[in-house]
Amino acid sequence: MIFVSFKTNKSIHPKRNFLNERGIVLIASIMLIIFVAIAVLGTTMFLVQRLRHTVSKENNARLIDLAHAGLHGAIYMYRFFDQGAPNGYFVLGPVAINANDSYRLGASPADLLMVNTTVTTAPNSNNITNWRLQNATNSQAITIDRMVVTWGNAKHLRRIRIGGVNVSGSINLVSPANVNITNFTLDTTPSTYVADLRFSGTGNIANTTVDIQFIMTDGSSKTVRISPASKNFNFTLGSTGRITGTNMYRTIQAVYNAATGRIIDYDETNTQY
Amino acid sequence: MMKLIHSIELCKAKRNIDYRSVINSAKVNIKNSRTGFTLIELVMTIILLGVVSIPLSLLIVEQINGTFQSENYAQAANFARVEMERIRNLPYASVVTANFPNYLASGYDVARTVTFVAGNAGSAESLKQVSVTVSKGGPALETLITYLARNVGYGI
Repeated sequence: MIFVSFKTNKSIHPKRNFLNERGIVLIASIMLIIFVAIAVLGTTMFLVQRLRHTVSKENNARLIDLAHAGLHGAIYMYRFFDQGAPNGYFVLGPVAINANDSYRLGASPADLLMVNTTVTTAPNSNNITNWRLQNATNSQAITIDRMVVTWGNAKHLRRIRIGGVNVSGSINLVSPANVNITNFTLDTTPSTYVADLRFSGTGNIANTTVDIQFIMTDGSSKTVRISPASKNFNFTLGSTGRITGTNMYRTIQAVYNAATGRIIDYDETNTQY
Repeated sequence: MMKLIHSIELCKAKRNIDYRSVINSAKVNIKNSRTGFTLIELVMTIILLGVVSIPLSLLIVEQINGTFQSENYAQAANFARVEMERIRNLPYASVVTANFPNYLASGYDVARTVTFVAGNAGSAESLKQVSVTVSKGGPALETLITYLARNVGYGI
């Protein structure tokens, strides 16, 4: 029986290497294709991610301008309506600028409560009169639940009146007076409510500062110095910019002083309206 | 041939001199040798490479485009922001429609479009829509939109 094999006789084929193997070109080609495909796909994914990141940054920049647009839109509306009686107001909720861009306005009840102290007077030693309350929006009613009144002398607080209604009942409290008033609602009809405080006892209420913390039924609160008179007539407004098709948003919260016509403070917040 | 000679020598050494059998066996081994490429193999390889290289080359082209596009978008966003900040510091009456070709010598074109959303130039109160569009000799790369109300100042 003859059996001769040369398969492993390298001395006979000194120049033979794996590249000469039959089928190696196909295998090598497939491997090369796979390698290139993985490399190209990897790079593509990286670039797609980078492009998305760029688009995301663009949207981020757009959103802050949309939020600003909301603030200016609301301020324009307030000032426009403030030209006539009885007072200015703006509308809460969403506003579309175009098919993709929009903003939404929102605020807590305390933010919407405007206390006009520009014409506050102390006609005598016992009374602080003519400070006025109003609702900055016609979109929602706001209700005052309690008031904490603070002043700097020994006088006693005897009465709180809003819009001609005695909301405190008969009281005799020293500072700070936490008064659980009869809930007072400033409704959606634009209205201004004139309010006053009556004190008794020795001393002159005009010679001290009087602060009131208004606590609303939802728990939000706002503290205002009602005496002496000042250009303290603010509302706080939140505006969230949005772009259709994204879940991104940016919100600016601003304090607008209606007495001076200026945005006295603004900041970006994480709240979404 | 070397294989054949070697085979014959081996057979001689084993005193088994069936040359025909030896020659046939060697021929078979040569025929079944694993060295070299076949035409079919080369053709298949070329076809495979051809088929795969088309989408791959398209992807590579897209990658190159995407790189430039990303760069353009980022630059356009920056110039739009610069212009928007400039607008916020302009007096209300000065915020009007204007075009700025080759903005800040950057090669990008900036267009500012201003329209009245409410009121007009003579109104006591008015609201302008300001749109800033940045392009580079083609479609818009970036557009920022905002509103400006008349005489709204910032600060206490």
